[in-house]
Amino acid sequence: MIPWKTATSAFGKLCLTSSNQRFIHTSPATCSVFMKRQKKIDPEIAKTREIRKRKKLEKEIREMMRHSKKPKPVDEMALDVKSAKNLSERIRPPTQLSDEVVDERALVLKEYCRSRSHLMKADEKWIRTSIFLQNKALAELKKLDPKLYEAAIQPDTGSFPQTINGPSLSAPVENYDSPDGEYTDTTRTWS
Amino acid sequence: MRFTHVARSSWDIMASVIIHRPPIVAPQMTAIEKRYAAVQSQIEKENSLLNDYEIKSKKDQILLERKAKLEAAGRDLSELEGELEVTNQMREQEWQNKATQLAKRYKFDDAEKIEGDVDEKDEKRLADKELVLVVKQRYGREDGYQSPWQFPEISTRQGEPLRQSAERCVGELLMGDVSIQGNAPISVFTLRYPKPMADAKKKSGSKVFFYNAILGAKTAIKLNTTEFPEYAWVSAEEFVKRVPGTDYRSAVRTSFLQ
Repeated sequence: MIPWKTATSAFGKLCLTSSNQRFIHTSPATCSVFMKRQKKIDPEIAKTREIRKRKKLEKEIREMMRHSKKPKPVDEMALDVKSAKNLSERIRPPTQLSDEVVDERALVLKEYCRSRSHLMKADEKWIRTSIFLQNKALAELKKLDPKLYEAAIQPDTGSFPQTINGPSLSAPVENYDSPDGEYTDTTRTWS
Repeated sequence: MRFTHVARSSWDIMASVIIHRPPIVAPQMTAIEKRYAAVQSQIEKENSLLNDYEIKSKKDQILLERKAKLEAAGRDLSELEGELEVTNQMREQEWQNKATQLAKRYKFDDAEKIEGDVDEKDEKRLADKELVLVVKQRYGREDGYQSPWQFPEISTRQGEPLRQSAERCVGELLMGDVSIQGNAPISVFTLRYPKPMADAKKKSGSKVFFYNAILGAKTAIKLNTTEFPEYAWVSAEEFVKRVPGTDYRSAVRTSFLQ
């Protein structure tokens, strides 16, 4: 009994009777492809216009590609034009390296790599130990006083940005009158 | 059933500050670094082209030989006029003279500044090493007690965050720009009081929380000599020799970057 009633009522909702107009809402068309009045143009003229537009766009794309994809020259590594002209004068006579020199160079390189790797391992160990000790300190602080712990784990926004100047090669001179540091920047930009 | 009473240990909380004076002068290259640098510059030179200065040197060489020949032959030097104006050798001599003058005037390699055992209280000693400040403290006691050499510490006030205590500690020692690194302590050290002291204070000991701080420019020591009778700026090796207690040194081992 009941399902039959709901079926008829559902069907009733699908028809657009005046009593059912609450359920469906229609509005006039608000968008259309044709907005301007179309004038009749000569099809050949239209074609030529299209072709011109297309060519212009293609040219613009080519110009962009030419500049963006090319790798920019590094001024420090490029040979300047004046030097390139007398390149023949600038070539060094090839050096003959003896076996001992070659061996010594290889040994120095190996020893240097070993020393750098040793330093890197020491740095990593230092980082691990620092983190471990800090975590230990914070754990103890938490046990002692939760409020102090909360204060300690706040991010320290006041410290950054921080500028630290590294040590110089020679000791600083007291009361040194440094010369004017003005310069003009001549780096090339491609944009 | 027996209920054992678990005595809760209570601790004094202390904030300590490790004030670093970073090196003023860069340290010398190690032996292997020097050898490697020499080898690399050799290789770079072999693979390079001659520059304008070297071309001029070569030309100067040729002209000097011609001049010597002409003089030997007894002919006048009118041909060479205008070609052999200023040789590179003359230029180098000038530069050398100027360099010695400047070195005499500004004393770049003043060994005293770098190595000299000037005065431990001078913060400019040992310019190529990183120094830390160690003190002897009295903790307000009047019985002539002095702590062994250690980093300066101060007890926290009720509810005061640790970083604020550290800043207060710095304020009692130095005037000027000292930046404390971070809100969190870098390490902790537990000191147990001897029994009479623990009974008197009713605390089992103190927990010292360390903070790192870096000395900025334009700072001056201004500590209260009754509280801090002695102080010194020491390098890492000196620190190891001077400060007793392996546990204490172990707790602060990461404050030295070696």
